Amino acid sequence: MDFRFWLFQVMNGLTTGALLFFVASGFTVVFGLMRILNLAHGGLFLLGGLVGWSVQQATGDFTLALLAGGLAAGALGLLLEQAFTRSLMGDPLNQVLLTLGIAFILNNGYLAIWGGTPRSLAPPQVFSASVSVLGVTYPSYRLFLIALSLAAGAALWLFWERSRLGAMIRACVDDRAMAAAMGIRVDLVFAGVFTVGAVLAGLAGVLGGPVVGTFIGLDFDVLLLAVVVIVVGGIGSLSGAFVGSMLVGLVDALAKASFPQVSYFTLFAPVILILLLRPQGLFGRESDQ
Amino acid sequence: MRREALILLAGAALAALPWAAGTYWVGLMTQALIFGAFALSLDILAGFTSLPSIGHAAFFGLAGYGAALAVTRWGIDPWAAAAIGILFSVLVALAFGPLAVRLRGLAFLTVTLAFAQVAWGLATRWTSFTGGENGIPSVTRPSLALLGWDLTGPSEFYWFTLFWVVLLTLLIHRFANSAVGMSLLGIRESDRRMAALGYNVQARRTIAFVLAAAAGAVVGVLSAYYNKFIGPGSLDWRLSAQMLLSVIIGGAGSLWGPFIAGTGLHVLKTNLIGETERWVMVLGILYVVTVVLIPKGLASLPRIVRAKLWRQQPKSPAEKKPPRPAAPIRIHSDYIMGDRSRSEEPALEARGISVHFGGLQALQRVDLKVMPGTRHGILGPNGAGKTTLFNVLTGFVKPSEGRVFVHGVDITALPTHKRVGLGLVRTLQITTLFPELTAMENVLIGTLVGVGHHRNLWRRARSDRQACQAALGLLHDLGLEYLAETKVAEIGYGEQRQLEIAVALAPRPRLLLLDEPTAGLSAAETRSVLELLQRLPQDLTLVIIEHDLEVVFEIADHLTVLHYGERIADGPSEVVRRDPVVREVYIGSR
Repeated sequence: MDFRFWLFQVMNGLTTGALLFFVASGFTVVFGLMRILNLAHGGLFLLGGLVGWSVQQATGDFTLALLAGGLAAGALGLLLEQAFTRSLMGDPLNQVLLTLGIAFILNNGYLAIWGGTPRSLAPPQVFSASVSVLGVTYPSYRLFLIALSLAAGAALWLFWERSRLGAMIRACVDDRAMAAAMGIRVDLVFAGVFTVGAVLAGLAGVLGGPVVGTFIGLDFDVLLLAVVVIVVGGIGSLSGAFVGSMLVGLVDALAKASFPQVSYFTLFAPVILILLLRPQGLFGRESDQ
Repeated sequence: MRREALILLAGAALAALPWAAGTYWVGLMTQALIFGAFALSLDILAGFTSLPSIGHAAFFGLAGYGAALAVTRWGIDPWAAAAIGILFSVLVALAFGPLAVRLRGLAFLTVTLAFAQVAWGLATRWTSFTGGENGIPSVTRPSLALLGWDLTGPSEFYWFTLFWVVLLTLLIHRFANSAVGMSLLGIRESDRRMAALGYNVQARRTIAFVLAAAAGAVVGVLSAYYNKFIGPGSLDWRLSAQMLLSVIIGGAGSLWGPFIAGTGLHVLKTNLIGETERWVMVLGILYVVTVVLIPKGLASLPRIVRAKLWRQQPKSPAEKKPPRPAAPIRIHSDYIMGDRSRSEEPALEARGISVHFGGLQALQRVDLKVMPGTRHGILGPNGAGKTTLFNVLTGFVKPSEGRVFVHGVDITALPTHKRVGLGLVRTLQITTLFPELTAMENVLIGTLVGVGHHRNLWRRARSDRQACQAALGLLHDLGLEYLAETKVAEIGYGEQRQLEIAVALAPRPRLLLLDEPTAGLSAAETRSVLELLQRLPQDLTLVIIEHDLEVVFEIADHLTVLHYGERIADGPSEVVRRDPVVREVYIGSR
């Protein structure tokens, strides 16, 4: 009984971690690459979820919803990237207020379009059943999510470490000016990375639909968790984002199950410690700031 | 003085509100004044010290919770409870501040956000103690029964709030103009420079953090009493963001701007919430428009308007240039300390200094001995390690090996600002004078250290007679008096280099380390700097880095030559000049 209870919590944590990884990977790479803490990133996630919900309502198809959610978030992301790089890079205070302003505009815009009712998506037909894992009955959709994030993590890692494009992005994260001097089109790298990050966030919004639902306010909840992941994993580190997401998911789930009074504390107190003792994050390198 | 009178006048005018407006406006303005002062408190940190916190509401809310809990749970008198709440916030700030201020920019932003989220998380989830989402209702207000005053009415509480807000504003204004307040502005521009002038940068950042938290705590308690309620909303990071926005809209560092913006924003928001569901969007648009259109805030508007109206041309420095004295005057000011010990002990000594940067060996077991009253030149081609050696001597860089002594005292472990206290001062290679301050104010920041008034929190730094006289005296002695009231941004480069020396003399060094004082100067400007250096009192020990051979040969009586991080020659100037190895390094590499 006790073991099953904890196994159930661990799987919940991994599900949250899996969703979080899709959001945080784009968030952290954009931060590392462009030095932009994009507080509107949660808005991209929520847009994916809401568009996905509408498409599923109209067509009844989850795959279409997933595609539409990812595309919508990607398009908005590209738009935001153009706005950010054109208006300001540099002063962190102004930058944060600008992205926060956009986050507020998106948040309220969604409210105008979709209204305040919390909604949730139906999981795809294949994964509507539950399966038994070591004696715990668990929704197969959630297991699919965990597997999907592992696959996505592996694919992203291969791209990041092995491909020419990945090497170019890493070069830009390390030293933007030097990369530009070597002939890398930094502006294209920025636009591409930002858009891919937005698509991933949008996909996560749809994928999370059957688990956490979609509602106004989820954008900020997800954003804060992504900030925690960045700090734990280190700025601009993809593997850090993966480990960070899983850790955050697990800590959140286990703390909520064992000490609900201080569950939020257990999430953010480590952030303070890490920032003060190891500002580059658990997986970041010394030179990252 | 004029500003303080203005604050009192504005307070008096605001006191008339209850006779002019209805209860709705009196209540609205009470909370608006609280937020105005709250934004003002954040300006100390985000504007003055350039530490943007997105968790400032934590101190506002924690104090409110402290007071509310003390009143409702333990039945403590509201006055004492207020003190408990404020003290609680200040103690938390004292514990967290010194650690947080080690971070900058986005990292500081994130850590303050995480901190506020911890507080918010405890307030929302620890339901049994804090009331969770429902907060703590029916907090009793303090009473002024002794004065026959009842604080339950809206007008009475408005006046009560106004009193504290005006008092707080006066205190913050006073602090901002004190020596410590002025040093915060300096730290915002360049913390290296401030450390090199003898200021303990981290301690001052901590002071700014704790004072901002304390001021935020005072208004936090006022807010809890005004609403007779405290909830997690008072700890929300979005409240912190609203205050940051107020600081930016008002103009960071201007104090009055953030106050007005904080007040106005609350009035606007409250009215919008009543009018439309779209107020969050309006707020968002306000964020974007502010940042894009007026990133320097409302406080910058008067200057822009004035410039448009009068088309002021900055007076070119050439017009103001006075005739130079025909013969160089010897400086006889006793302000410049010099070194009168005349002992056989070296004034400055480095033993076996090595510095690695990763795989790069910047210095290899370099020895240096500087006798009191000498003019010691350190020569070497680019990349020889001259500046690194200076950085080790002044504490900017910790050596991997070796020790540094001043008059026999081991200072290897001392931070830069403490070395200044022992009389070791340096100039920086790239001029980092404060461009928005006048020449006189730039020197004043140093003379405040020289006369020991740099820790004053109360007296107006610009009216500190002793420090001002010292600053003017220095400018006079160096023949730069005519620049006293000119902003550094409007001073020519050659004169900036001379001013740099005046600033370095201000903390009263016994040993002055000059890092390429003539770099980038024309022949004529180099001549002026050389004359200035030759006029310095003989007993002031000078160590000078140069790669212009003529400059060094003219000034230095003793030379140390570095090449690829190693000392290749050392001795009296005329001997080293003829050293074949030195000749080869210089002539061979040029």
